[in-house]
Amino acid sequence: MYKEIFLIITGVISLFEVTAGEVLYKYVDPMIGSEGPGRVFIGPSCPFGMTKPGPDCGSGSNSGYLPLKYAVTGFSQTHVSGTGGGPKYGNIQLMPFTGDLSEKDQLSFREDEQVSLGYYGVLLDKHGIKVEITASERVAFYQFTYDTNDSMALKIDAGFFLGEKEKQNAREAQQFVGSEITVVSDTEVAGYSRIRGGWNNGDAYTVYFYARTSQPISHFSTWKGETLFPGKSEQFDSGEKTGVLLAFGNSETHELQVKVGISFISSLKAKENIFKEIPHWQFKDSLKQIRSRWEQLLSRIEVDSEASEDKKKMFYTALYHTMLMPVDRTGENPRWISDLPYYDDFYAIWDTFRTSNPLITLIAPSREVAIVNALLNIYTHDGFMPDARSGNSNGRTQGGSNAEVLICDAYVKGLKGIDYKLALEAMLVDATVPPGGKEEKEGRGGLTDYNRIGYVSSDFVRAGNRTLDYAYDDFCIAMVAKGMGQEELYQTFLQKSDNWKNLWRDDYEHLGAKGFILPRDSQGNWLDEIDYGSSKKHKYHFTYTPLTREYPWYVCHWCGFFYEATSWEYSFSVPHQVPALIEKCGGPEAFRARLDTFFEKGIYNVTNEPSFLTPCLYHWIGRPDLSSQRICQIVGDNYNTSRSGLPGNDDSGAMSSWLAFHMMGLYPNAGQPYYLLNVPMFCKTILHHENGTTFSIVAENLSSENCYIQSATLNGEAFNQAWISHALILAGGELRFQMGPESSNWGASLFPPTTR
Amino acid sequence: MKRNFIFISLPLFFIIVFSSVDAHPAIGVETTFNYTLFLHGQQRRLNITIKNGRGALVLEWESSPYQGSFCLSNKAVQYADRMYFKQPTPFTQIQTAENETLFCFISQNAYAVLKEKSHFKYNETVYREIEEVDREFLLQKNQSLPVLHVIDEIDDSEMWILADPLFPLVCEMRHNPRGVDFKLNAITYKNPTD
Repeated sequence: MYKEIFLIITGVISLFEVTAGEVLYKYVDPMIGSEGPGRVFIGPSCPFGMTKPGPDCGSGSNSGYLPLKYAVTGFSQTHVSGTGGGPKYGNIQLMPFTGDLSEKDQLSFREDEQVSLGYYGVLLDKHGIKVEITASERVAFYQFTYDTNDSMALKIDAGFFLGEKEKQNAREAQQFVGSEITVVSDTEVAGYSRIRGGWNNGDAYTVYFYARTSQPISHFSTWKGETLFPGKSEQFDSGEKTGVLLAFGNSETHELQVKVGISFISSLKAKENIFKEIPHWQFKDSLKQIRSRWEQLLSRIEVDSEASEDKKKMFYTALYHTMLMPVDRTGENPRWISDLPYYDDFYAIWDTFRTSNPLITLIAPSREVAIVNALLNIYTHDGFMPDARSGNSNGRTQGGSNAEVLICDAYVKGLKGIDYKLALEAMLVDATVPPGGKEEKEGRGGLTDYNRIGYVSSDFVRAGNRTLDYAYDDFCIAMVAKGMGQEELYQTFLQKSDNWKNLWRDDYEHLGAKGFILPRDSQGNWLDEIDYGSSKKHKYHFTYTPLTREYPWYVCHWCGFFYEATSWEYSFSVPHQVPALIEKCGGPEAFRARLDTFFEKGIYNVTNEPSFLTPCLYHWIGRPDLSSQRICQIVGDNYNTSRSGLPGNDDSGAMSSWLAFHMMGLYPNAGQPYYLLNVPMFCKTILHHENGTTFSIVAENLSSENCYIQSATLNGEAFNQAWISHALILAGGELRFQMGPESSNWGASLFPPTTR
Repeated sequence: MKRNFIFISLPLFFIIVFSSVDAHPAIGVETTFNYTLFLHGQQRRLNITIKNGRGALVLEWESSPYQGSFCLSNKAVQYADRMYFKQPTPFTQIQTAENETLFCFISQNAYAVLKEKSHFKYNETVYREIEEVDREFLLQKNQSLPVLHVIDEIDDSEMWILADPLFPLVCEMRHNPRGVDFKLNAITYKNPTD
């Protein structure tokens, strides 16, 4: 007990030393990954915050943001971060301007953009207005500074949203449903925006707002459709876009502050959110508060103070990106009342289960508990846990029912406060109840095949990754069932976790490798030629090989055998049975050659998640040094501090969390209670756990030459394995690597555990 | 027929240099065709550029971030009776068969037959000409091209074919039973001063 007290005290003191010294939030650069494929959200946001106010440069960008050469339309209150496909949200747009109230379009170019954690600032060229934004959980706080000679005006557009297309019901495009606006008083405006669709083809969601201004409104014009109505204070919802242009006259301060509360329940709830979260008008206080909230989280991982500025920026920005989504909407669920947490914008678990959720579990396990409980909340009322969800609608499911992995990961890592009995029930629904025509929304498509013949046949799209994902999801069910003493369920699902072998074509050779996951019809025939097209007379087919990406040329993007990857990539994706995979590939030497071919021929795809674990697979043939080499190369070639510093869509922090783990020298096998060990990129990393313990990872003599682990100790005792259990990390202590210039046998004989 | 024979027998390098039709500049080396592909609900840009080739027609394609090329024999350019419609393979040069043109044009012989008989056979399918008053195909920037409009007898797919006997480019394809429709947006010609 006293040891625990001591650990708690030292943990608290350590935390104090971190916060009393250097602040860490200054290393967060929200602009990393804002250009190129990253698509990260750049405006202010609380951790898992519901409101994310930021610039919209037209309506085409998923994050809203585009570089300075593009004009800004305005600043909306809701965004997602790092997503692909069609955009979502972009609701309730503000835009300051000067002059009369005759023009809705107030497009402006920008200069002098200043972006830091919790803050966005920019100068709008058109009227010389400085815009500054910060936020709390559910309130955006704006500060507009106008030129001294100009009148102050502001547009609030309740009809704007991202992703609008000319063509009605265009693929993955959001669609307008309705909006309403009311000038409540000379300092208050309220209303809502109701939109449906977007990437997840979701049902209509409504974003209510309540705006309070620091200066009195002198006059205004509301609009409905294309018509302006001077002095008319209300525009009811008749299925047309509405908004208001507000004039504030001249003020001595030339400064206008606006607080915009957001709610998914009602405008009055949005108003209440303002009173609760930002009852004052001190912009700097709000900024200080959001930074303090982030600092508490970021300081849970402390890295070597001598590390380069760039490394710290990459690391802490990666942590930051990991904790932008999903968003906490507890108390903001318009569809049911529950005591359980409610989270939205799982975007998507297919992307985040491998690294983002395990990283949240390390940094903030209580938050991960809330996230898992939110999944159970959704299951209880919607009938299925989501694999993706936004705008209060499940969808879309890209592959497996990966909530199983989150639950299993929580279970094996000992997270308390989750009803695992309910969780197992929810997992079993995924595994046994077909989603009945809603396969892209939730559940397991092709489940009838999978449960009848042991794999998803070519009768169903995405048969390849679905089969592999379901096999791993079933392994996760087996582990939870085992832990809960459900022996029969454990045996059933353990057996099902072998199902990946039913799509393993043993004798297929390609580029010197033998054995691949390949298409098979429901009769058991392997398919080298796949039919496509719709001719009344002619038969068209294409040849399927392990490198084929048949979409969108032959079939639609969601209709291939594998989703967003090739057989070469996915044939490595058996995280629960790597030794069996190695055997299938012909043994350790053949597996090493296969991995080498994969990386050296450029088949590895750094831009997407399916190959996340693959660089670490050398661990299972006793060559963790090769894993570290690959990872070092991948990070060096693809990640940096530039605005294009992420190699692919960040996908709610998936790319970022992959990087963060590897910079620490840890890598999770999600759903299993251990981390693989690789060469850290910091000389020292200290994890300050929620339970008060501290775990340090030290790399002695680490340098560009000394990049191989020679030996390791854990709490002073020799540690000869290249993996470590979650329990040991949580118990606190020190893992110390001795680094050197030559490859060694360290970690070569004790392979990562295989749980059965 | 004799007139068609004269056209068909021209060596390939003459075709590359001298292909021209009233109302549009010469198609030749470094001419780039900018297409939009319509693929199962998605769109992709595809640029195809005519490159020099020794005794063959080399077409480089680019659809960011990928690129590659096709190589067609003289015989294919002159006499092919089907289109190569496989998905382009990045960073690879594909040699089409002797009876295949790339999907964006038909052979000179096929065009000659179409002009003479108002129908032709390609892809094991008969395409019949649709008589129209307006035989112009509009590109971006209001550039127009003279075309022949055909429809197939099996699946009702349609093509608008540039009225150029030496380079009968397919400007648009619709209702392709393979699911790959495409439309020409622009042609960029080599600067004559280069």
